[in-house]
Amino acid sequence: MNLVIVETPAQAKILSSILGQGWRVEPCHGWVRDLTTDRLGVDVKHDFRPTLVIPPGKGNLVRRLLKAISTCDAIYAATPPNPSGEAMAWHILALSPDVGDKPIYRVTLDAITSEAVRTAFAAPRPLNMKRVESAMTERILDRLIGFGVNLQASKTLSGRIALSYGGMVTLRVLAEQHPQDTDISPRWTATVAFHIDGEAFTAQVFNTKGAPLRMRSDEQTEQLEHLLKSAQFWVEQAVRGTKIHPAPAILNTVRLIETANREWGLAPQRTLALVASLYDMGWITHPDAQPLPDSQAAQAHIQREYGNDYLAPDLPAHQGIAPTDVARLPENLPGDGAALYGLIWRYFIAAHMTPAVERVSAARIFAGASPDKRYPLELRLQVKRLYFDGWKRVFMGELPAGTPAIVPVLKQGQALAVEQVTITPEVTLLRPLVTEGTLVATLTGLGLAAQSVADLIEPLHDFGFITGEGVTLALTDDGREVADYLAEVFGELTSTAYAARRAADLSLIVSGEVSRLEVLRAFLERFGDTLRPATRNKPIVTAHKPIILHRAEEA
Amino acid sequence: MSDMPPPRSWDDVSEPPDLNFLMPEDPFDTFTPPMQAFDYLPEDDLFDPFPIADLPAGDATSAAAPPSFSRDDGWGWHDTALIAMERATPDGEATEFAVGALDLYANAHTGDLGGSYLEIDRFDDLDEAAAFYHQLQGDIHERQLLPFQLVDYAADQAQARAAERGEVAPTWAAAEPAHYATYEDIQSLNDGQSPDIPPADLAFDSLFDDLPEQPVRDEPKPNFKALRDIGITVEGFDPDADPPPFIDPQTGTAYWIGVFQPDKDDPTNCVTSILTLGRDAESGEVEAQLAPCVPGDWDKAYNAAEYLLGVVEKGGIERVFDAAEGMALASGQRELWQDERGIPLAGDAAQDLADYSQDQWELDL
Repeated sequence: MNLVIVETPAQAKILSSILGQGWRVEPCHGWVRDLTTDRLGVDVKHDFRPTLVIPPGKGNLVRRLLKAISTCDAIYAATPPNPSGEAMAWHILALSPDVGDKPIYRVTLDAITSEAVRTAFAAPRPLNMKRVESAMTERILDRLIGFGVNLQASKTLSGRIALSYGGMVTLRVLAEQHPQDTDISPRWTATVAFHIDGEAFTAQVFNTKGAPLRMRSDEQTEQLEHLLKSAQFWVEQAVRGTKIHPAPAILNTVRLIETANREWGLAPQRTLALVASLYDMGWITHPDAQPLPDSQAAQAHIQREYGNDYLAPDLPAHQGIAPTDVARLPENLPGDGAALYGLIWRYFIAAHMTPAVERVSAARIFAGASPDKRYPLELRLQVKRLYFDGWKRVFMGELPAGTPAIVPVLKQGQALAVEQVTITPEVTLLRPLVTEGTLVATLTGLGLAAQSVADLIEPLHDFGFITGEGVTLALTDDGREVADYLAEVFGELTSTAYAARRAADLSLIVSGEVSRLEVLRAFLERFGDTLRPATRNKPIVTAHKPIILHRAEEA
Repeated sequence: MSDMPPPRSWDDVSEPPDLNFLMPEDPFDTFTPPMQAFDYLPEDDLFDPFPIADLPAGDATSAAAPPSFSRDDGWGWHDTALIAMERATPDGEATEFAVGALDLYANAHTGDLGGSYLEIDRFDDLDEAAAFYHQLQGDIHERQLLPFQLVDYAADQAQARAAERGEVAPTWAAAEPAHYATYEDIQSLNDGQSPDIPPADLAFDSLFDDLPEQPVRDEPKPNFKALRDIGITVEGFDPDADPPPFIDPQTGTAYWIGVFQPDKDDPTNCVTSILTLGRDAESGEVEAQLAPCVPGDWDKAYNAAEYLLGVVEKGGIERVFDAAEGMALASGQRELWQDERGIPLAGDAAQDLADYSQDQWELDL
């Protein structure tokens, strides 16, 4: 009997039905070992040796898995296809006294379908300990930072602080993206509508440097409106051309989270839960699947549904999440999962399609009492018309017959007739709002795992460190206090710069370019003093004085 | 990936293609007490019935028929688990404990969980309920039943228990919120990775007792070495001990402001300067940079340095560099700023300054 270890019960059921007799499929429900919680659990003096324990409540699961290992002929580790999944399998196998000389095969299931399972089981590889070491190094670093920072923070700040490493970086990101007192800046948008060849087009008013207008009072606004209504307008410069919109890339986890959050306000945690469901159902490939998805089905679909003009000559360059069966068309059903599947499906098809082409007519328009008395402002007009829909066809459907594709022809010096002048005060944020989606994108861009980032938002809410209106996020006063403390006391250790460097180091462990001990020792050398409380008694200086420097004498 | 070609038929998959894939050595030298016996242990499976005291008794035992979970409607099997609940008896006078099975489906369209519940038995006594629960779990463990096989198992058990009592066997019914809440409670106990939060009683000072002291180096300390590398010595100043007026929390780069006096005996030749000490992003080595901005005699340079310290206090290091660039330009020291070991001015800095004045222009009506 061959034993297959998967992560979830749902995967176990599907694989059992695919593999049939002679195979036993057991779910392991994530890591069955972790660092002990009653002490640091990392012996930094002895090569950062971890003290691993079986978490409470998992003992019988472990015994069950070990029993299955003891009686099987070979073991197939089909845990998730990422370093954490590799470590997931290793934790179980390392506990077994019966692994002995039994073959151990690592299989990565890019999708839970018969074909994907067959392909994966036909090409197994050994367990990759570099990937395991990378995952464990991340865990050890999280522990060193988590214990060190939380203990000092709890002592210094009022109350017990319980932040994960990702939570610390999140607070820093929010503090940097929304500094206090610089939230908003009032602006005005002034537009003028013109009548050209029987159609109305709107141009925006700028100052002579092309910047939005700044006005101090409503009185100034009224004066501008009066001026524009009585002004003459003429085309100073006009150009026509085409604009190519290349096909979008296949969606990856981060862009999916961002898009779902922006379009439907879907929380990242829910998006990821739905992605897991869709993967378990066998509808989509795993977000961490390595090979490029099979493009032939997409190409055949495009040729059949839209014609050869819509088929891109080259295959998409980037991997991402793909439908396992292009023939399973997205349906217009209620529900977030159906919407996510539709998004994944459309982006996958669109990535195989030709660019969309727009015809563009743009003009700089001057205004004045007369052509020789020009006002110090200019207007910009841009008219775009879709000339060839290309990949946009997947999102918009076929363009209605008679949709205009011709842009107006404007000539230098041409006088324009004003139809309407509009000046709208608006509050423009100096910095874009942070949403759950953009936050996840920022943090995963730094190398943090999307799932762990999605999971940390709720605890930060619970602690009262962040607050949200709709999908936007901001720090509370308590959150800002903690973020400022983290920046002041733990500076680089909790910074986004270090988060990115750490992720790069973990990747280098996977590729074998550095060892885990090199990474951990470098960490200790860099941040040992920061984490060691005794060395933090630096003098407090209230007034700095200039320092004195001289030229060094030649050696 | 293995070089082995895919099997020609599905049956070939059962033949492992390479027998040399064995368990790698443990690079972490971890030690977990070996488990020789694999029997179910009740003490590792806390029986903790989920209290649903706030719900009326009837709500936890639905009589509604089980819904259908068609794959065509997006439903896929999710999990089946034993759950235990503590609730009030129907008359509200006492407490009883129910042990049942929850068969769960996930909907890929909506993300919802749906399911059916089957009550296997109920008890007035907590210990009896616990014994029954552990008996079932032990039996499942012994027979190595997989979660999706628990549906039939639970039905058999419920039928047997009903037969013992001379009652009609219960049937699966639509699951109620209390059942989902109970299941979620079990999952939250099992799923969470251990947090990296030190226990409350952990001594603060002993946390990093094991952390080795940094070795005493024979070579100069990194900060001093970096200063020597650019030909600078310091007077009455220790970059390891004296806090800088500004430190970049992102990079750890420290900034000091002072006076560079090339010749100690010549007070007429001094330059107000910004000293930075930071690590190179790639090599990790400490690097020093000196940005000279205002040349003059000692008093002029010192006063300018004091002025810049005031600026850093109010506006941070970016404002200081803006001011320093302006001072360098104003004193005709663009060349010095750029070339003398310092940070080069941005090519369009002068233009930016001009633009800054222009930006003050408002629409003049």
